[in-house]
Amino acid sequence: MEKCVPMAAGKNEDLKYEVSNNNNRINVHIPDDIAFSILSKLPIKSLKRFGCVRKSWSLLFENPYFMNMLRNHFLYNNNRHCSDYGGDTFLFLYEPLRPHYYRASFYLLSNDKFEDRIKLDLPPPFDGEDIAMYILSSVSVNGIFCLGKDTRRGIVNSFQAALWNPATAEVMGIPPSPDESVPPYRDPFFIFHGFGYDNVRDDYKLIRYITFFQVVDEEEDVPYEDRSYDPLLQIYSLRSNTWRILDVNIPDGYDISMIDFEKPVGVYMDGVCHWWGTTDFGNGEGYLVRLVVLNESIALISNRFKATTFHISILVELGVKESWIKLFIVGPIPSLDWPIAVGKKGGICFRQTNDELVWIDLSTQIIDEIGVKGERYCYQMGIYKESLLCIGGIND
Amino acid sequence: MAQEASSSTSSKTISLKTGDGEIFEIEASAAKQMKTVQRLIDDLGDDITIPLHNVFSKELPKIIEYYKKDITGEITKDFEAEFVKDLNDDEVKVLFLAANYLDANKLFEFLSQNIADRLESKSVEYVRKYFGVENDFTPEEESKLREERAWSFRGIKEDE
Repeated sequence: MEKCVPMAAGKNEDLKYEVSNNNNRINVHIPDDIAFSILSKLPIKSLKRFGCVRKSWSLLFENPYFMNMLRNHFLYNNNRHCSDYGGDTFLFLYEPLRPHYYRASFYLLSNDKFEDRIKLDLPPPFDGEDIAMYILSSVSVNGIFCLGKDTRRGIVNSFQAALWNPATAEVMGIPPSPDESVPPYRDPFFIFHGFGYDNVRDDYKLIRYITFFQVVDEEEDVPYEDRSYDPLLQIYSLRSNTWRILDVNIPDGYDISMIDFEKPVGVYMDGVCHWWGTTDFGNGEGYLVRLVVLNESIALISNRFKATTFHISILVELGVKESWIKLFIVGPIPSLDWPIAVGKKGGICFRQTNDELVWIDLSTQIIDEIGVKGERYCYQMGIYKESLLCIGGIND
Repeated sequence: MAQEASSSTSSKTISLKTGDGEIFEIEASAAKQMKTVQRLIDDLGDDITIPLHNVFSKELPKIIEYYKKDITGEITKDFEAEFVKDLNDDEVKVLFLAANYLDANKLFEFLSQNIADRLESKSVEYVRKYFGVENDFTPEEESKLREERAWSFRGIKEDE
């Protein structure tokens, strides 16, 4: 065994260890080119912190050679995680039955190819023709989906949701909340919804934000107290099978529905629902933005309006706006129109201008056709892992 | 100690001599995984003892153990966890540098990840010492950067 003898240990001096057999190998310098092999495998949060080690490390994120290593590791990790997790890709889209007439369809793709699809029947009332429905948070949590449907009868908007386990065909409707029963002229408008899992309470929850039409016309025969309803943020718990109001102030002026062409379903990851909103109403640079989950991080895919180069940034730390890191650039690829979702193998599904859906591999930028077309803006895709979870069994 | 080369060519062994003069045997198929060794074999032939000036008797057996397992195709996550379990950070660093010198890619990548995992929550000063690099920031520059990146310091004990 070697003997380790500490030498001079002043307050600001490095402790140097002399190892008898092998001259000072312990504090030997690791050259940058091999140091990068270690650094590129660190979590980005640690990398940001270690920027304080020395000047060249504070510039790592501007070093193309290093960023390449970081990207490769990010994707390698993602692919490994995806193959460990297993599951299929689910695809929800609107298929044209005849010109201008669409029907919602739900498929499982085992090989990320449409030709290897299994069509699953959507449960009633989501199986009708020409209805506007979507999957809340574009996610399946523990094998469960939350399906949502907006209908408009006359001037009244209503929202219906149900929890669905495709493997067992179990469906459980979500009851309406008393707060949404308002006189017809109050016109509730469902701004955004989300679905997710509370792992502390082992509970499945829905969240939604409702605003009410403000009656401003002085001549309308409306009782004073009915003129203005505050917006409501509500949460539903499967365990208690009830809605309750959350006392959280959503800042005024955030418009969530304008950004996403589709329903503002947002994304869910790890106990948190996320939506993209803006306070900039069309005076901005004209960026289109899509929120997705990439390799267990919240990510943003954005492009300038009509441009075919897409930038992908990930949010390293929730709640920290300085922690958005631009990681990938896709394109310019002229055929691309709009990103849809992240797939099983870390590729991104894009819609092309010819309506076809394709996979783009993030490391090679190779395009792989999925083999399906659909109505312009209504696609949702994600990863589904079958489970035999009994939804009704969660009810207390 | 030394294995007899059998009539089958696949069990040919190569002799390696460390910087501190000890000799170890490895199978030719394992030597192939260490590109530096393979290059030396190509230059010097496989009958002579290959000198490895920068690798020592403390780490070479461990490296040989890794590639012995690798040629049977059996490197699992459990094996890798066990492999580094009793090594401290400095011992892993020595192995890492040796794997780099030997151009043993699989081991190098595995150890890179292991070191990254070990350093993830360490302090900036610890990482400086570990990589043997100097702090070339002025105190003002460093404190400015720390402030900018304050969010990345949350939850980290900086004096470790």
